[in-house]
Amino acid sequence: MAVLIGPLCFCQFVYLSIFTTTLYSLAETSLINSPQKLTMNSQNFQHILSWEAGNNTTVPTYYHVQYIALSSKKEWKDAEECSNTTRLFCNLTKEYDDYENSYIALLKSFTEHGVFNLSSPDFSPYRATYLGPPIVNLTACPGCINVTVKLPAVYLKEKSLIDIYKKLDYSTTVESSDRKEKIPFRNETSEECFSYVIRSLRLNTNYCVSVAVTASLNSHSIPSALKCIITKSTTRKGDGTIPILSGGLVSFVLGVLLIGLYKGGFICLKSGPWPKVLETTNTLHCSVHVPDPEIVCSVQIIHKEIIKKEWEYCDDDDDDSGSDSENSDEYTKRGILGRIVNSHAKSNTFVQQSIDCASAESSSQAIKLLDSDAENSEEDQSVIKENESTSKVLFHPSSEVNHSSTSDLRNSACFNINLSTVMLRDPEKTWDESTTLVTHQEDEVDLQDYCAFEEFESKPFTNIDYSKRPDCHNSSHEWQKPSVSDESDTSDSEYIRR
Amino acid sequence: MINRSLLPFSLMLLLSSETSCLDCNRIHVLQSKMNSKSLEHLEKMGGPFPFQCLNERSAFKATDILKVRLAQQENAKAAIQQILQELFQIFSKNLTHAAWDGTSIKEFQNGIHQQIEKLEVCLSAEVEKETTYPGNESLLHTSLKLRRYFQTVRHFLKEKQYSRCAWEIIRLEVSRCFLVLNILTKRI
Repeated sequence: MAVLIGPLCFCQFVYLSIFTTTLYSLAETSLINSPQKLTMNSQNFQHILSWEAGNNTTVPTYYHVQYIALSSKKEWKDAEECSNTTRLFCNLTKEYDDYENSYIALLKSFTEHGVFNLSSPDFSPYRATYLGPPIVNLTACPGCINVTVKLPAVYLKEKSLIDIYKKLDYSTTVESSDRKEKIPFRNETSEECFSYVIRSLRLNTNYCVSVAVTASLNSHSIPSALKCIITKSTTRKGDGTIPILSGGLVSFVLGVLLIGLYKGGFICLKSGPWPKVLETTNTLHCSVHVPDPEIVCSVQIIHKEIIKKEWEYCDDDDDDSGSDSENSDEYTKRGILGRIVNSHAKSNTFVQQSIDCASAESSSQAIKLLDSDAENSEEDQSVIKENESTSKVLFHPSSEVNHSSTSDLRNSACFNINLSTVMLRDPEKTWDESTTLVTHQEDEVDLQDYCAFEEFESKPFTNIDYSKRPDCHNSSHEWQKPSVSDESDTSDSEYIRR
Repeated sequence: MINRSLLPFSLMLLLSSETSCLDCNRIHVLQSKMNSKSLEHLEKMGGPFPFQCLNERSAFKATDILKVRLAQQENAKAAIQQILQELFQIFSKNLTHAAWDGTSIKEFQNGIHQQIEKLEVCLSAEVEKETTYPGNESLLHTSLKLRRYFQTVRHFLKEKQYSRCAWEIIRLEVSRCFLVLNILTKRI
């Protein structure tokens, strides 16, 4: 029985010892504040190794950090600031200077109970560090947002993200606050600071923008914080001032220009009444030309056999005398001794014509016509009418004939007087006793152009009694040679001279 | 009947040729993406670097590939081609002792192979220009450097009998090769 008890006891002893040892070791491990959760936080090549303390915080623990570069031939190195430290983190930025290498960090925990090691996994700064967040600035524009991105600084000596990675990809996320629409926008850059415009956005809407930066072999990134901005609308109040100012300026310039033109005489305003001469133009514009009332003169042709007179009168002189102005409506316009252009006139008949002229405007017009051809009375009638028609133009009362140049031979009346047929007669005597001025008589009348002058010198006419106001309302008007007194000789001679 | 089937067939052929057409102007974008993928697969293959292999690092005598003065832009494609081919050859056999994840190994191998194929299509178009290369000598120099480097790698593996530590060291070195590949890809 003792033999059986013996082996049983031995086995139990063994089991018990094993069990106790295990418990003790477990207890020991719990007593030793073994660090847990060794993590590497790396951002922009700033590497911070952190860990958590063990369960029992009352036990003092000192930590020691070592590191090794895998691709180099070197051995473990101690981290400078992390020797015999009680802190729960270690900054390994300076230690991990070869960013293309891979590193292993070893954490040694020193307690009174012993040393505990904990190692980190392979860490390559080039591939594992978190890039960003970039610095983002937003400016609003109509229906778009202008984004300016600046890459963060790197905790490496004289290096930047572009120096390390050469090219970086950036992705933009645009969110609208109400609909939560996300618009990703990707591109690549090789500059530290760059800007771009996000278009096709709604007007007057609040959008929030976030930018993240990545590399081709490093996809770890920290996006920037959401920045919100409201897009502008197309109609801006501030812009209204510019068109108003420009419109005012243009109108001011136009006004100055117009005033300058007016002062310079290029633009004239109607300052006074229209002159009478131009008055008819208004009526003429709209209406059919209404000619001046015709001076209708009824002519009585008194045929006398003896004398055929041909008047030749062409007066070019101007009538500048002021006295004529009184007769402006009368014989200053006279001028006419309308000579009938009649090439057929051959007879020496004297035609005394009585002219009865009727004019609505003035009766001051006298027309004396000669018709040397009694046979062509009909023609004469027509010719007279022609003369009348021409004469009426000449005797327009409103025309300022006084000062008009007679060189303007628009309407000129010339009379060719056959001197041989000129007869002189004493007013008291009859025609039979008259004598010819010139001995010879001409059979033919050399009739020149029919021209009528607007102005005549008053002198000869006064002698011929033309100064008398011809009263067209008179029944007859006798042209009397005898009425021409002695002065008529001179007048005739004057005529002849001319 | 032939006409009826010919038209859709020709259309399909045309479309497929369009889709499978490789844009050599954008080859750098594709290569960059494939580089990143391959490196991920390489890191997935194994765990952290084993402490026991730290002492064997000194046995690897090759010069640092990153310190190799590599080609200019016109030689970058050829250099990339050479590196990829060497990597493919190294990682094609004797991987049993490495005790790595088989799926990741295969994905890595396929990725490398695709990169090689796509680059060949674009590189063949430039073969005609090689005769007028101004930098022919530098290309040769780079090629020799690379060849020497990968020879050292193969020799090291062979010497260590493709042990786990040897593979881990080489795996570490190949990850640095991809940094070089990345730099070269950005140049093309």
